[in-house]
Amino acid sequence: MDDNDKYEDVSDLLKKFYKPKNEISNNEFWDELSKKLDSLFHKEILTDKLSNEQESILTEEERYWIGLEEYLNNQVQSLKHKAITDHLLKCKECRKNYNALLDKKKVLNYSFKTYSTGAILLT
Amino acid sequence: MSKTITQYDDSELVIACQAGSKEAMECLVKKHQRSVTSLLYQLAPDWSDTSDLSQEVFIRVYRGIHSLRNPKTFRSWLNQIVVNLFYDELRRRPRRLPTISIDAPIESDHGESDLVREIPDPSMKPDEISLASELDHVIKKAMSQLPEQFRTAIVLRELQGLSYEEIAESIGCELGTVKSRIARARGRLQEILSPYIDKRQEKRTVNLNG
Repeated sequence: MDDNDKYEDVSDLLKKFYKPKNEISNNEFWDELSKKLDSLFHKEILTDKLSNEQESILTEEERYWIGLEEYLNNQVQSLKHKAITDHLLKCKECRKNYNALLDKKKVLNYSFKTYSTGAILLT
Repeated sequence: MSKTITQYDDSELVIACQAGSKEAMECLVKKHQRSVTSLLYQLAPDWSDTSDLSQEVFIRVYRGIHSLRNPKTFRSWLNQIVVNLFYDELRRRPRRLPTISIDAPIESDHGESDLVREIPDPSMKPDEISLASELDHVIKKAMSQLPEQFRTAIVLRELQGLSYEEIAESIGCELGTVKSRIARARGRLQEILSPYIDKRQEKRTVNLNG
Protein backbone atom coordinates (compact mmCIF):
# COMPACT_ATOMS: atom_id res chain seq x y z
CA MET A 1 0.00 0.00 0.00
CA ASP A 2 1.51 3.38 -0.97
CA ASP A 3 1.32 6.61 1.02
CA ASN A 4 -1.60 7.97 -0.99
CA ASP A 5 -3.74 4.89 -0.30
CA LYS A 6 -2.80 5.13 3.36
CA TYR A 7 -3.78 8.74 3.46
CA GLU A 8 -7.10 8.07 1.78
CA ASP A 9 -7.80 5.66 4.61
CA VAL A 10 -6.85 8.29 7.22
CA SER A 11 -9.13 10.76 5.50
CA ASP A 12 -11.94 8.21 5.42
CA LEU A 13 -11.49 7.38 9.11
CA LEU A 14 -11.57 11.07 10.05
CA LYS A 15 -14.77 11.65 8.13
CA LYS A 16 -16.46 8.59 9.63
CA PHE A 17 -15.35 8.76 13.23
CA TYR A 18 -14.26 12.30 14.05
CA LYS A 19 -17.52 14.09 14.70
CA PRO A 20 -19.52 15.24 17.73
CA LYS A 21 -21.63 12.57 19.39
CA ASN A 22 -24.56 14.73 20.44
CA GLU A 23 -26.13 17.17 18.06
CA ILE A 24 -28.48 19.87 19.28
CA SER A 25 -31.61 20.39 17.17
CA ASN A 26 -31.73 23.40 14.85
CA ASN A 27 -34.87 24.83 16.44
CA GLU A 28 -33.58 24.43 19.98
CA PHE A 29 -30.29 26.10 18.99
CA TRP A 30 -32.06 29.02 17.29
CA ASP A 31 -34.49 29.56 20.22
CA GLU A 32 -31.60 29.87 22.63
CA LEU A 33 -29.56 32.06 20.29
CA SER A 34 -32.52 34.27 19.47
CA LYS A 35 -32.97 35.09 23.16
CA LYS A 36 -29.31 36.03 23.41
CA LEU A 37 -29.52 38.23 20.30
CA ASP A 38 -32.61 39.97 21.64
CA SER A 39 -30.86 40.69 24.89
CA LEU A 40 -27.84 42.22 23.17
CA PHE A 41 -29.50 45.49 22.19
CA HIS A 42 -32.77 46.22 23.91
CA LYS A 43 -35.45 47.56 21.60
CA GLU A 44 -36.51 50.33 24.04
CA ILE A 45 -33.20 52.10 23.51
CA LEU A 46 -32.91 51.87 19.70
CA THR A 47 -32.99 55.13 17.78
CA ASP A 48 -35.80 55.62 15.28
CA LYS A 49 -33.21 56.32 12.61
CA LEU A 50 -32.66 53.42 10.24
CA SER A 51 -29.77 54.81 8.22
CA ASN A 52 -26.90 57.21 8.68
CA GLU A 53 -26.01 60.41 6.79
CA GLN A 54 -24.33 58.38 4.06
CA GLU A 55 -27.63 56.52 3.68
CA SER A 56 -26.17 53.17 4.65
CA ILE A 57 -28.32 51.03 6.90
CA LEU A 58 -27.46 51.16 10.59
CA THR A 59 -26.83 47.92 12.45
CA GLU A 60 -28.87 47.16 15.54
CA GLU A 61 -25.74 47.77 17.60
CA GLU A 62 -25.24 51.20 16.01
CA ARG A 63 -28.94 52.07 16.52
CA TYR A 64 -28.60 51.08 20.18
CA TRP A 65 -25.63 53.35 20.89
CA ILE A 66 -27.09 56.24 18.90
CA GLY A 67 -30.33 55.77 20.87
CA LEU A 68 -28.47 55.94 24.17
CA GLU A 69 -26.59 59.03 23.03
CA GLU A 70 -29.79 60.76 21.92
CA TYR A 71 -31.28 60.03 25.35
CA LEU A 72 -28.20 61.38 27.05
CA ASN A 73 -28.30 64.55 24.95
CA ASN A 74 -32.04 65.02 25.57
CA GLN A 75 -32.79 64.63 21.89
CA VAL A 76 -35.73 62.24 22.29
CA GLN A 77 -39.40 63.06 22.65
CA SER A 78 -40.79 63.07 26.19
CA LEU A 79 -42.77 59.83 25.82
CA LYS A 80 -39.75 57.95 24.54
CA HIS A 81 -37.60 59.61 27.19
CA LYS A 82 -39.89 58.23 29.88
CA ALA A 83 -39.91 54.76 28.32
CA ILE A 84 -36.10 54.72 28.23
CA THR A 85 -35.84 56.00 31.82
CA ASP A 86 -38.22 53.24 32.97
CA HIS A 87 -36.18 50.67 31.07
CA LEU A 88 -32.89 51.93 32.51
CA LEU A 89 -34.29 51.65 36.01
CA LYS A 90 -35.14 48.00 35.39
CA CYS A 91 -32.28 46.85 33.15
CA LYS A 92 -28.87 46.51 34.74
CA GLU A 93 -27.09 45.83 31.44
CA CYS A 94 -28.42 48.94 29.70
CA ARG A 95 -27.73 51.03 32.81
CA LYS A 96 -24.13 49.85 32.68
CA ASN A 97 -23.92 50.86 29.02
CA TYR A 98 -25.53 54.21 29.80
CA ASN A 99 -23.02 54.90 32.58
CA ALA A 100 -20.14 53.89 30.34
CA LEU A 101 -21.31 56.35 27.70
CA LEU A 102 -21.81 59.05 30.32
CA ASP A 103 -18.27 58.54 31.65
CA LYS A 104 -16.89 58.67 28.13
CA LYS A 105 -18.73 61.93 27.53
CA LYS A 106 -17.43 63.44 30.75
CA VAL A 107 -13.88 62.67 29.68
CA LEU A 108 -14.48 64.16 26.24
CA ASN A 109 -15.89 67.36 27.76
CA TYR A 110 -12.59 68.11 29.44
CA SER A 111 -9.62 69.31 27.50
CA PHE A 112 -6.20 68.20 28.55
CA LYS A 113 -3.01 70.13 28.44
CA THR A 114 0.23 68.23 28.96
CA TYR A 115 3.35 70.10 29.94
CA SER A 116 6.92 69.07 29.17
CA THR A 117 7.39 68.26 32.85
CA GLY A 118 4.72 65.55 32.47
CA ALA A 119 2.10 67.51 34.42
CA ILE A 120 -1.46 67.41 33.05
CA LEU A 121 -3.85 70.33 33.39
CA LEU A 122 -7.59 69.72 33.17
CA THR A 123 -9.55 72.68 31.88
CA MET B 1 -43.38 31.33 -8.32
CA SER B 2 -41.55 33.21 -5.56
CA LYS B 3 -38.90 31.50 -3.44
CA THR B 4 -39.38 30.74 0.24
CA ILE B 5 -36.61 32.01 2.51
CA THR B 6 -35.07 28.53 2.84
CA GLN B 7 -34.48 28.43 -0.90
CA TYR B 8 -32.22 31.48 -0.93
CA ASP B 9 -28.48 30.95 -1.09
CA ASP B 10 -26.03 32.32 1.46
CA SER B 11 -25.29 35.56 -0.34
CA GLU B 12 -28.99 36.41 -0.71
CA LEU B 13 -29.54 35.65 2.96
CA VAL B 14 -26.55 37.79 3.94
CA ILE B 15 -27.97 40.75 1.98
CA ALA B 16 -31.35 40.25 3.70
CA CYS B 17 -29.59 40.12 7.10
CA GLN B 18 -27.76 43.33 6.28
CA ALA B 19 -31.15 44.91 5.61
CA GLY B 20 -32.24 43.83 9.09
CA SER B 21 -34.21 40.62 8.39
CA LYS B 22 -34.23 38.39 11.45
CA GLU B 23 -35.91 35.65 9.43
CA ALA B 24 -32.89 35.57 7.12
CA MET B 25 -30.61 35.42 10.16
CA GLU B 26 -32.60 32.46 11.48
CA CYS B 27 -32.25 30.74 8.15
CA LEU B 28 -28.50 31.32 7.99
CA VAL B 29 -28.09 30.02 11.55
CA LYS B 30 -30.14 26.89 10.91
CA LYS B 31 -28.27 26.23 7.69
CA HIS B 32 -24.81 26.46 9.24
CA GLN B 33 -25.31 25.54 12.90
CA ARG B 34 -24.31 21.89 12.53
CA SER B 35 -21.21 22.58 10.48
CA VAL B 36 -20.08 25.28 12.94
CA THR B 37 -20.61 22.96 15.92
CA SER B 38 -18.78 20.14 14.11
CA LEU B 39 -15.91 22.40 13.19
CA LEU B 40 -15.54 23.59 16.78
CA TYR B 41 -15.59 20.00 18.01
CA GLN B 42 -13.00 19.02 15.41
CA LEU B 43 -10.75 21.92 16.42
CA ALA B 44 -11.18 21.30 20.15
CA PRO B 45 -12.30 17.73 20.81
CA ASP B 46 -11.63 18.04 24.54
CA TRP B 47 -13.85 21.05 25.18
CA SER B 48 -17.28 20.27 26.53
CA ASP B 49 -18.92 23.59 25.69
CA THR B 50 -18.85 23.57 21.90
CA SER B 51 -22.58 24.30 21.77
CA ASP B 52 -22.12 27.52 23.77
CA LEU B 53 -19.18 28.45 21.59
CA SER B 54 -21.29 27.90 18.47
CA GLN B 55 -23.74 30.42 19.88
CA GLU B 56 -20.88 32.84 20.41
CA VAL B 57 -19.89 32.33 16.76
CA PHE B 58 -23.35 33.36 15.58
CA ILE B 59 -23.42 36.35 17.94
CA ARG B 60 -20.19 37.48 16.25
CA VAL B 61 -21.85 36.85 12.87
CA TYR B 62 -24.85 38.95 13.91
CA ARG B 63 -22.69 41.79 15.12
CA GLY B 64 -20.38 41.75 12.13
CA ILE B 65 -22.55 40.83 9.17
CA HIS B 66 -22.98 44.47 8.16
CA SER B 67 -19.26 44.75 7.62
CA LEU B 68 -19.13 41.79 5.22
CA ARG B 69 -18.57 43.55 1.92
CA ASN B 70 -18.77 40.54 -0.38
CA PRO B 71 -21.74 38.35 0.64
CA LYS B 72 -20.42 35.58 -1.61
CA THR B 73 -17.54 35.05 0.78
CA PHE B 74 -19.87 34.30 3.70
CA ARG B 75 -18.71 30.70 4.13
CA SER B 76 -15.03 31.52 4.39
CA TRP B 77 -15.83 34.53 6.61
CA LEU B 78 -17.79 32.20 8.90
CA ASN B 79 -14.88 29.73 9.03
CA GLN B 80 -12.61 32.63 9.88
CA ILE B 81 -14.87 33.60 12.79
CA VAL B 82 -14.82 30.00 14.09
CA VAL B 83 -11.04 29.75 13.83
CA ASN B 84 -10.54 33.17 15.48
CA LEU B 85 -12.89 32.21 18.30
CA PHE B 86 -10.98 28.94 18.75
CA TYR B 87 -7.68 30.82 19.07
CA ASP B 88 -9.26 33.44 21.40
CA GLU B 89 -10.49 30.63 23.62
CA LEU B 90 -7.11 28.88 23.54
CA ARG B 91 -5.52 32.06 24.83
CA ARG B 92 -8.23 32.55 27.45
CA ARG B 93 -8.31 29.02 28.87
CA PRO B 94 -5.61 27.88 31.26
CA ARG B 95 -3.17 25.51 29.68
CA ARG B 96 -2.80 22.11 31.31
CA LEU B 97 0.87 22.50 32.02
CA PRO B 98 3.31 20.92 32.58
CA THR B 99 1.96 17.92 30.60
CA ILE B 100 3.27 17.75 27.07
CA SER B 101 1.85 15.75 24.23
CA ILE B 102 4.11 12.96 23.13
CA ASP B 103 3.30 14.06 19.60
CA ALA B 104 4.15 17.71 20.14
CA PRO B 105 6.79 18.77 17.63
CA ILE B 106 10.34 18.74 18.89
CA GLU B 107 11.93 22.08 18.16
CA SER B 108 15.29 22.03 16.46
CA ASP B 109 17.61 24.99 15.93
CA HIS B 110 15.91 25.60 12.60
CA GLY B 111 12.32 25.48 13.93
CA GLU B 112 9.94 22.52 13.97
CA SER B 113 11.35 19.11 13.10
CA ASP B 114 9.78 15.78 12.27
CA LEU B 115 11.33 14.04 15.26
CA VAL B 116 8.84 12.37 17.57
CA ARG B 117 9.16 11.12 21.12
CA GLU B 118 9.24 7.33 21.20
CA ILE B 119 7.35 6.08 24.24
CA PRO B 120 6.26 2.42 24.46
CA ASP B 121 2.50 1.90 24.61
CA PRO B 122 1.64 -0.44 27.51
CA SER B 123 -2.03 -0.76 26.48
CA MET B 124 -3.49 -3.59 24.45
CA LYS B 125 -2.31 -4.11 20.89
CA PRO B 126 -4.68 -2.70 18.29
CA ASP B 127 -5.50 -6.16 16.95
CA GLU B 128 -6.69 -7.15 20.41
CA ILE B 129 -9.26 -4.42 20.55
CA SER B 130 -12.58 -4.25 18.82
CA LEU B 131 -11.85 -2.00 15.85
CA ALA B 132 -15.13 -0.19 15.52
CA SER B 133 -15.59 0.70 19.18
CA GLU B 134 -12.03 1.85 19.57
CA LEU B 135 -11.61 3.89 16.42
CA ASP B 136 -13.53 6.96 17.46
CA HIS B 137 -11.61 7.05 20.73
CA VAL B 138 -8.27 6.55 19.02
CA ILE B 139 -8.96 9.18 16.37
CA LYS B 140 -10.19 11.70 18.93
CA LYS B 141 -7.05 11.10 20.98
CA ALA B 142 -4.80 11.33 17.94
CA MET B 143 -6.41 14.59 16.88
CA SER B 144 -6.33 16.11 20.34
CA GLN B 145 -2.62 15.30 20.56
CA LEU B 146 -1.82 17.13 17.34
CA PRO B 147 -0.48 20.65 17.90
CA GLU B 148 -3.39 23.11 17.45
CA GLN B 149 -1.98 24.67 14.30
CA PHE B 150 -1.61 21.27 12.61
CA ARG B 151 -5.08 20.22 13.77
CA THR B 152 -6.68 23.42 12.48
CA ALA B 153 -5.07 23.00 9.08
CA ILE B 154 -5.97 19.33 8.64
CA VAL B 155 -9.55 19.86 9.86
CA LEU B 156 -10.14 22.73 7.44
CA ARG B 157 -8.66 20.71 4.58
CA GLU B 158 -10.00 17.22 5.19
CA LEU B 159 -13.27 17.77 6.99
CA GLN B 160 -14.36 21.19 5.79
CA GLY B 161 -13.01 20.69 2.26
CA LEU B 162 -11.33 24.10 2.02
CA SER B 163 -8.64 24.77 -0.56
CA TYR B 164 -5.11 25.59 0.58
CA GLU B 165 -5.71 29.23 -0.38
CA GLU B 166 -8.93 29.40 1.66
CA ILE B 167 -7.16 27.86 4.66
CA ALA B 168 -4.33 30.38 4.38
CA GLU B 169 -6.92 33.16 4.37
CA SER B 170 -8.89 31.66 7.27
CA ILE B 171 -5.93 31.23 9.57
CA GLY B 172 -3.97 34.21 8.31
CA CYS B 173 -0.74 32.57 7.25
CA GLU B 174 1.33 31.83 4.15
CA LEU B 175 0.30 29.17 1.64
CA GLY B 176 3.61 27.31 2.17
CA THR B 177 3.01 27.17 5.91
CA VAL B 178 -0.45 25.70 5.35
CA LYS B 179 0.93 23.02 3.04
CA SER B 180 3.68 22.15 5.47
CA ARG B 181 1.28 21.93 8.44
CA ILE B 182 -1.10 19.69 6.51
CA ALA B 183 1.71 17.41 5.37
CA ARG B 184 3.02 17.08 8.90
CA ALA B 185 -0.42 16.45 10.35
CA ARG B 186 -1.05 13.79 7.70
CA GLY B 187 2.24 12.10 8.48
CA ARG B 188 1.53 12.14 12.19
CA LEU B 189 -1.96 10.71 11.76
CA GLN B 190 -0.78 8.05 9.32
CA GLU B 191 1.77 6.96 11.86
CA ILE B 192 -0.68 6.82 14.78
CA LEU B 193 -3.47 5.20 12.82
CA SER B 194 -1.25 2.88 10.84
CA PRO B 195 -2.21 -0.33 12.75
CA TYR B 196 -5.88 0.37 12.13
CA ILE B 197 -5.34 1.19 8.49
CA ASP B 198 -3.45 -2.07 8.00
CA LYS B 199 -6.26 -3.94 9.69
CA ARG B 200 -8.88 -2.31 7.43
CA GLN B 201 -6.74 -3.16 4.43
CA GLU B 202 -6.42 -6.80 5.53
CA LYS B 203 -10.17 -6.99 6.02
CA ARG B 204 -10.76 -5.60 2.53
CA THR B 205 -8.33 -8.15 1.04
CA VAL B 206 -10.07 -11.03 2.87
CA ASN B 207 -13.47 -9.81 1.64
CA LEU B 208 -12.18 -9.56 -1.91
CA ASN B 209 -10.75 -13.07 -1.80
CA GLY B 210 -14.07 -14.40 -0.59
